[in-house]
Amino acid sequence: MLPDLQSRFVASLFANNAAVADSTADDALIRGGKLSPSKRLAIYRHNVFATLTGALRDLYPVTESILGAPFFSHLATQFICATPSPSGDLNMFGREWPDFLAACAKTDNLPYLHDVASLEWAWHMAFHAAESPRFQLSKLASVPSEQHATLRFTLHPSVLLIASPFPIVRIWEVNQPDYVDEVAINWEVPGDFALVARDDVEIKIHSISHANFEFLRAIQSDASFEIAAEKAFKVDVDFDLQGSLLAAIQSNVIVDVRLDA
Amino acid sequence: MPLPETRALCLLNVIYRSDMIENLASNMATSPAFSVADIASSVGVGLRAPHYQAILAQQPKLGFLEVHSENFFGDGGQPLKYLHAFRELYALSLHGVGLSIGSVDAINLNHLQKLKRLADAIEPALISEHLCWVGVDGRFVNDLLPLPYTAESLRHVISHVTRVQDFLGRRISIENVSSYLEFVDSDIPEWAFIQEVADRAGCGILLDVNNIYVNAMNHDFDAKTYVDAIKPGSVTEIHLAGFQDTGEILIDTHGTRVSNEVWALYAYTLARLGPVPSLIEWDSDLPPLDVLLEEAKHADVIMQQAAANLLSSPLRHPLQRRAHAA
Repeated sequence: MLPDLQSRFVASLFANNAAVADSTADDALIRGGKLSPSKRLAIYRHNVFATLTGALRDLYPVTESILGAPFFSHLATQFICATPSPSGDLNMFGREWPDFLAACAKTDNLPYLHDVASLEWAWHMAFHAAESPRFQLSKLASVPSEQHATLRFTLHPSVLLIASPFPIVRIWEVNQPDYVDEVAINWEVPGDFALVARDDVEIKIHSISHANFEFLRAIQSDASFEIAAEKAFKVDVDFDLQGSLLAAIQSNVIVDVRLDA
Repeated sequence: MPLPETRALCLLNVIYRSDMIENLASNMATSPAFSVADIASSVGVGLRAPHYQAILAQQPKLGFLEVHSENFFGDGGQPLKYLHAFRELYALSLHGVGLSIGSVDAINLNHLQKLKRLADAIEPALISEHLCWVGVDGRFVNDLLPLPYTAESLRHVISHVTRVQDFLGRRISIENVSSYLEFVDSDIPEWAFIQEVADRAGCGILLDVNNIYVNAMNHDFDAKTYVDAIKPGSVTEIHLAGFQDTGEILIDTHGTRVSNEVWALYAYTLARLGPVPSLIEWDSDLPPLDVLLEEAKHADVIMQQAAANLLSSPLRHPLQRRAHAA
């Protein structure tokens, strides 16, 4: 019956060790002829792993650059076996790769890998995120000044914020294919507060100040302007609130504002 | 620390006076809808990202462009901006690879909703999917897996195609896939199976002539037998691509020019079916756009020849009657 056939076929594709896969089961399912059923199945196994590995490679070029192509492929194969693709849309595949790397003992000497991979997934999310009209300054004009503290700003749908104890933005930068400058990484820095955002079609990854990070994170969680500012000042009393807000609007990171009734 | 009111006011004044921010003009008006009739007897190419700039710059004379639907399932961003730009210039065909019509799993509603959203936004001339399954039990393999051709599979595929067409509110076409194995259970020839699906679900057939040739070689049947079994009125589009011969088996790589054998089968198919919108597909080892355009031109020559032969024939072809009626 069809349900049984399909389940058995997929199980065969992902059998842990293709060499010892149950070839008698293949024979019951697949016709032989010029090629044995196991060899025929192997063509599909090869195609499936090539497609899914290729998808991971497209998503995680920096991870691949750090691991090297052979080690990346080796880990990708393990990941593919352990992590079912959730959709016929290949763009949905690979979300768990950062967590897989974090849990993988073979990458223990690369503790920053999870956060770098998370940055790459954020880039992917930003690439496909919804559009948003730019900030309309006229909306602010109608708000009486005594109500400014209660304004709630909205971030662009592409915005993702990642805090890491490692210099992940710098690591990402030096691993870009067009990067030509000094490749040294200063490991003494306290880490990065990364902002990923799309402006029109361009995806930007910036390292921002801790205070600015707290400010934007509060806005993202729908805090009022006053609360968001408080969060930032708590981290840095000299936080440039005006400059940061203006910069966020100009770079299309903040796209809307509303006043709750 | 609460925000001093004066500070906030001053801040907002600064922003409001700033004239550095421009409003983005939204000019997403869609061109008039194309239909299958508009792209009849025309040749198109598969649209892949590395060719975007070349196509926009050259704007080659092509009947239509075809994209993989799933690549435009995102909520926004660059892919959709490009697609709308191409839509201003060409008729588009949406070719899906992930709906998994042949799976025993229910059709994924989320996937279907995204396809409908995309179709509503760009009004494609054609929507197609594959006669295959892509996963089961919620696990996808993202590869086009062949079905056992049985009465059970037939009932199953017909019900899924019907479900998809009902949801989209329009006819789709299904494409025959290349395959490297046959199931022991299969007891219906592939050509009879796909024609039966088209007849009973009311869908079109996207006839991939290269896949017919690949399967004929891999499974030892006469490619013409396949073509002869397909009703002219069912075929809405033809696909052409290149394969790789490993010595043991033909692999449908979409990575080379169309082979001479497949060109011959294409001419044979058109002589039988009359002109049908035809597409050059190329997915791996992508060459410069010019190579695809050369292939498209070759297809066009064969198509014009088929059209000329048809007109000189004393018996009018059924396709012509349909074209007049439309």
